[in-house]
Formats: sequence, structure tokens, C-alpha cells
Amino acid sequence: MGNKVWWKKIHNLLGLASAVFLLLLLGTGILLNHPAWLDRGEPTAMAADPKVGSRIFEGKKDGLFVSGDAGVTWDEVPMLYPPQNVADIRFSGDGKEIYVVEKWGRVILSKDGGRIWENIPLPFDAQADGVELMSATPGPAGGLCLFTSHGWLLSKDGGKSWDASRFDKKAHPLRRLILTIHNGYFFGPKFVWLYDFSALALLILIVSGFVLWKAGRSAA
Amino acid sequence: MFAGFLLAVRAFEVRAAGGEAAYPDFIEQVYLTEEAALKSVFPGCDEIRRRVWKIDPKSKSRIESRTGWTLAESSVTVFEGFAAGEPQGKAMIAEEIGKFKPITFIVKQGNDGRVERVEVMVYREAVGAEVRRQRFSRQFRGKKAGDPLRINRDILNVTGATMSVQAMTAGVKKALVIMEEAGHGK
Repeated sequence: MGNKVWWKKIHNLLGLASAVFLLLLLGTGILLNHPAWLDRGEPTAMAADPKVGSRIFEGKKDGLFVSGDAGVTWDEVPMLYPPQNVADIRFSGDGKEIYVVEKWGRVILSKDGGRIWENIPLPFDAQADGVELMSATPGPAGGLCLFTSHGWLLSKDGGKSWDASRFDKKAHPLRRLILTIHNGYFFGPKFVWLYDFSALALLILIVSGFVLWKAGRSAA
Repeated sequence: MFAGFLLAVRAFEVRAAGGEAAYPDFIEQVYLTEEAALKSVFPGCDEIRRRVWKIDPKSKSRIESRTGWTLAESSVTVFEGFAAGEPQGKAMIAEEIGKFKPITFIVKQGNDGRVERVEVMVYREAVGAEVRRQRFSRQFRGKKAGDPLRINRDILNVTGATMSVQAMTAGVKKALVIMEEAGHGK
């Protein structure tokens, strides 16, 4: 009889701990599925001008910013198509060219230190193909190596042509596959909300279970 | 449960097809011809003059400097409306790439250089056609070349049509700068 009470206590304690753990998972899972809710305007990429030490470029979710006084004040770099979700900023060796990589979009280039910008044509559509752009490394004479979630590409002529032999846009990188199955994006963007709905349903189950358990104890 | 299973199988099929179902082929939708667009933005005008402006290198450099973006166009056509000989503003027909295809639209500014009308003439994307709605395009009214025209600052985004919104916003800004540089905006 004593053993039975002891086991029941252990069962309740473990049940409660699991419920708290699940609550934590559900809450953080929902937040991770909606990264925009967590965005506080933190920089996502930075680069210092190799020629002017106090000149720093900063990439954020909503644009590209520049500071001429070592980060004391910042101004947005004006351009027609401001980059979003900046993943990388790189200067060429001579400091004249600046490359900015968008996480889910384009690579843009300025050949005059950040005054006028242009698109570098890519042989794929990052957003449509689900390819995450990660970084770019400029080489001499318009050379550019672009590293993505699906491999890397090399251009020797400023993006006019690409060697994509190490790149496969139809590939499913394992880490990314698991992540997208976990958050629902694998099945389509709307499935994220289905996952959220399931999480909320589970949340309600846990809370109502806890309330019922308390009510049962009170009645006893 | 069974319906859920079918839905999941369908989603797998879409993924296996490279997500093609999510990005169907474009359908060209012509909302306004050039003639209809000009009539619409210049109501009551008895004369519409067409002027082709060849952009010289100096002007090109100034436009690029003001927009922060390389200019692909080497010439543009600017329309001027007149009612009983009095100027009634200017307009320009522009094209900007949305997600995959160009969006053709007209930007009309008043004599003070401020936007009076923006109308989508031809839309070629499968999604994002919400930008042709007045609810979106009337946001440009009163804007001038010197305004930021930045999404989520002075122009509100349309969920699900971000690329088209970017294209339209950039296109309107570029058109205003070009018309001003062409001596038509002031």
C-alpha cells in the first residue's frame, strides 16, 4: 500500500515535470516558427571598410546601414531595392567593391564604395527554390564564390556565368530537411500554422489536465 | 485523420515536384491599355503630348546617384497633359520586375511634382496582383521624388505580395526621379 502511494507521487511529479517541459517546448517552438516576432532589430552581418577604419556597414532584417564614425551613428544606405535579411557583407581586396548577400534573395554589389548598387544575376531563385544564401567571397577581377545551403557556386565574370557543379538546388540537405519537417515548412508555409494550432491544442490539453487533476485532488 | 494523411501526401507531392504547384505559370492580365491609362490619368485634357527623353550620361549618373541603383533605361517617354493650353501634370509608363515578370504601370504627377495617380496597366505574375488595388496604390498619392518611399515606413506592405510591392515602390520612386531630372517634375 505504501509503495503504491510512493509510485503515485513519482508518477504525478514526472507528469508535472513533463507538462512543464512540454509547455516550454510548445512556447519556444511557436516563437521559433515565427522569427519575425522575435526580431528586435539586431544586426545580422557586419563589415568594416578595409580602407577607412571608422566606416562600418551593418546588415539587418530591414536593410543595410552605414556608420562613418565607428558605430556611434548609423544611416540607412539609400537605394531603390534595399536588401532584407542581410546574411553577409564583404569588401573586395581593394575595398572598392561591396557585396551584400540577402538570406533568401539576391546578391547586390556596389562598385563605388556603397553609392550605387546593382543586382548580380543568380542562376536560381533563392526564395522559390528554398535556397538559403549564406556568404560570398569576392575574388580578383569580378570573381565571386557564393556559399549556399545547397552547395556553392563560382563566377569569374561578376555573375554573367556561374560554375554550379557543386550546387544542386533540388537537393535536400539533411539538417535543413529535418528542420523543415520539424517546423512544418516542408509541407508548405500554411502547415506552420497547422503546427501552431496543434501546439495550442496540446497546450490546452496540458492546462485542462492540470486543472482537472487539481479539481480531483480537492474533491478527494 | 484520413483527410490529414491525404493532405500530407499532397504536400509531399508538391515538394517532390519542386514546389511548382506553389508557383504556377504567369497569366498576363491587361487592366489598362496605354490609351486608356492616359485617358484615366489625364481626365479633361484636350491634348496629351508625348516626349521621348534620351538619358544622357550626366543625367544617368545623377539619377543613379539619387536612387542608389543602376539605371538600365537609356530613354524614357514622358507624357504631358494640357487642358485649354494649361499644363495638367506629367505621367510616365514604367516597368519593374516583380517576382519573375515585369509589372507595367503608369505614374502621374501634378504640376507640383507630387504623385496624383498610380495605376497598374499590365500584371504578369501568378500571385501578388493586390498591388493594383486602390487600397495599395493610393498610398503613393502626394509623394514626391525626395520622399523615402520605403516599405513599412511610408508605404505599407501587402502580405503575400512583397515582391510586387517592392517593385512598384521602387518603380514609382524611379519614375519620379526620372521625371524630375527630365525637367518635368518641378
